[in-house]
Amino acid sequence: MVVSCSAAVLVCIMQLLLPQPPRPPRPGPPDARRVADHIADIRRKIENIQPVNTTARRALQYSRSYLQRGETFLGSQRLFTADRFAAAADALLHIAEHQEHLRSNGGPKGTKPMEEVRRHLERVYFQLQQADYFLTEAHDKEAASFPKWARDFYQIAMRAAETGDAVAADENAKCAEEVVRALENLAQAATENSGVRG
Amino acid sequence: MNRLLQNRLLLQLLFTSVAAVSVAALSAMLIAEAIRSAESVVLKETNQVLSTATSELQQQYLYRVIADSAWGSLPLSAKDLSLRAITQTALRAYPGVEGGFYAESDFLGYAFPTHDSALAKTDVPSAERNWIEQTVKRSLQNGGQAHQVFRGRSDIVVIEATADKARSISAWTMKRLAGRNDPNIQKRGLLLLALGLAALLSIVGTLATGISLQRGVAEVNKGLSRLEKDFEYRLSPRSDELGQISQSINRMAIARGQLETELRREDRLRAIGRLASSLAHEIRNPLNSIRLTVQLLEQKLKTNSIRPQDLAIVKGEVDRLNTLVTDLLDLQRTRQPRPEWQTVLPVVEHCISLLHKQAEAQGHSLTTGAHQPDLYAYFDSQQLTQALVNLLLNAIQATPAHGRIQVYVDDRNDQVEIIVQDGGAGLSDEQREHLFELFYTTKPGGTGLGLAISRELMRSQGGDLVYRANEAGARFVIQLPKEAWCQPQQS
Repeated sequence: MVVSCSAAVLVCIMQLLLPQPPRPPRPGPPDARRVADHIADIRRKIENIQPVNTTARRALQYSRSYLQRGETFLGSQRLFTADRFAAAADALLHIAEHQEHLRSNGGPKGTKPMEEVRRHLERVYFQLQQADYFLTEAHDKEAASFPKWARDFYQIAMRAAETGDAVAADENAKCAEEVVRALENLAQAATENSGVRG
Repeated sequence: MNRLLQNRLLLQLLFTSVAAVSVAALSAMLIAEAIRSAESVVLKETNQVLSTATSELQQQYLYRVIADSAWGSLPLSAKDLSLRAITQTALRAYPGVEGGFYAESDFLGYAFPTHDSALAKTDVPSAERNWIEQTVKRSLQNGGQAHQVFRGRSDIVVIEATADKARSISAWTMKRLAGRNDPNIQKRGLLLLALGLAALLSIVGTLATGISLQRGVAEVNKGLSRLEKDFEYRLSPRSDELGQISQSINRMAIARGQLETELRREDRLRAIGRLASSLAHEIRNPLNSIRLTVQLLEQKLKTNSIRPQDLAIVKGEVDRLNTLVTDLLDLQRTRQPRPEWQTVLPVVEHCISLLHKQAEAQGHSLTTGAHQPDLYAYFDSQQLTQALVNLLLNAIQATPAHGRIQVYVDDRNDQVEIIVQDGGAGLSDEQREHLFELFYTTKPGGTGLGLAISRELMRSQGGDLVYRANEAGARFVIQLPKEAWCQPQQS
């Protein structure tokens, strides 16, 4: 009892004496600077990436389009909307990256075990069911084909999983996930003036 | 108890009533138990469903938060939208379940995807808002699950909440169950009540009908018992089914009366025929004798040789005819008996005293005895004296000189018997067969009316005169009733 109490006191003293790592910045409402940096970062990535196929090109095209709209909203000081459009552009940019990973057989993280891929597919299936809802809430005609696009990625991923191609299954599942994420960001962007519901 | 066991109708009624009440009570208990069990089972199943749904909501929320580093910086409206998408998708597999999240003192992501309306329901139900908040806060306080059941005016509300204390958010789900005040349940309750009332009415009806039937049967039984003694009695009319039986019994009683009257009339005609035949025979014999004697006297008159003895024969036959006519007149003059409740022995002793000297003259011993000295019976003492004297005279005549004649009064169940035992040779089978027929006699100079008259006297007051076979001598028995006897009306 005495030993355990002494150990606890020692740990407290050590924590006070040792230098503490810097705390991550507390998340908060987007400010203009941060949004601008975010958009610039994405712009740079878009410019640097080489589309490996038509899917990647399509994704980059959408990404550019939404990034541009984000910049427009940034110019009109609608920071949250600009941030969400940037996030949508970022998600779509990731599709191009995943297509590149498909070429390089799994990308930098390598091949995942099939069991993990299957669990991922289950989560993606759940997200896919939200796609239509997000599209409705986004009121964005440009994104009208996104739900089908996401389902197509999912179908490819499922077929790949059936044939035991874990890389193709995982990367296509991620693509489906990114499409739904983009839709969600667009839907969130549309909520800026609607207030909290519930 | 014995009376109850004998009355099977009443017993059946009792068993039926007990069975009906038992079945009704058992049914009510079973129904109540079934309702309670059903509610308990439904609540248990609902708890499991809500627990699973809430866990799934919580799980999907975690996936969503982990996948998005910017989640914390999102405004509530954006979080609300994303969480509603999760709720709508997750709860689609749970019919009747609604739910959402609670964070930062506000409801987020509410959805009821299986709601009946065509439009998606997006507002937290105001009626249950406080209950949900109460459950959610409880889960946040204990940092785990909270489960509560609320009984509303028309339904039962089950709420489940699972908190993620680290993120200060709680996922909740809710389901409404039909309560006791639910219109459908109320309809079922009314139906049960109606069935209960119907059962009660049927029990009361069965009891009332059974009691009425039992009373009716008792009344008919009582009427039948009375009808056995009084042929003129008629069962009172009834309007129910037993009334038809009563009417039938009354009709049968009337028919029986008519039949008896007819039989009596035929008997009388036959008796008159027999009497006329016997009378003709009895009269013809002395007349023939007188005719023959007169013819003889006619011849003797010519020779003037008539003797007094010849006239004595005529005189004797005329006397015989006179006795016959007197006896017949006695038979006709038999008056209506007037039975009274009185002791038997004094009458017997009186008769013996009347004939004591006559018996002594022939050297007979005439003795009397009784089982009990104070035996009572219903009888007309004058008519009993007439019958008993007749029997004693017969006994004196049938008993050889210095014989013994015994008279004994005995108690036999519902009768008192006067037994007259003579010291004669007794009767042959043939004599016994015709013993009480009119004009049958074995006695020289007898009319053959004495025993018939004596028996008629006894029967007219509910008693009888019978011959009882005996080893030695003849034994006649007068039977007197102990109960008042109602003589049937003769038409």
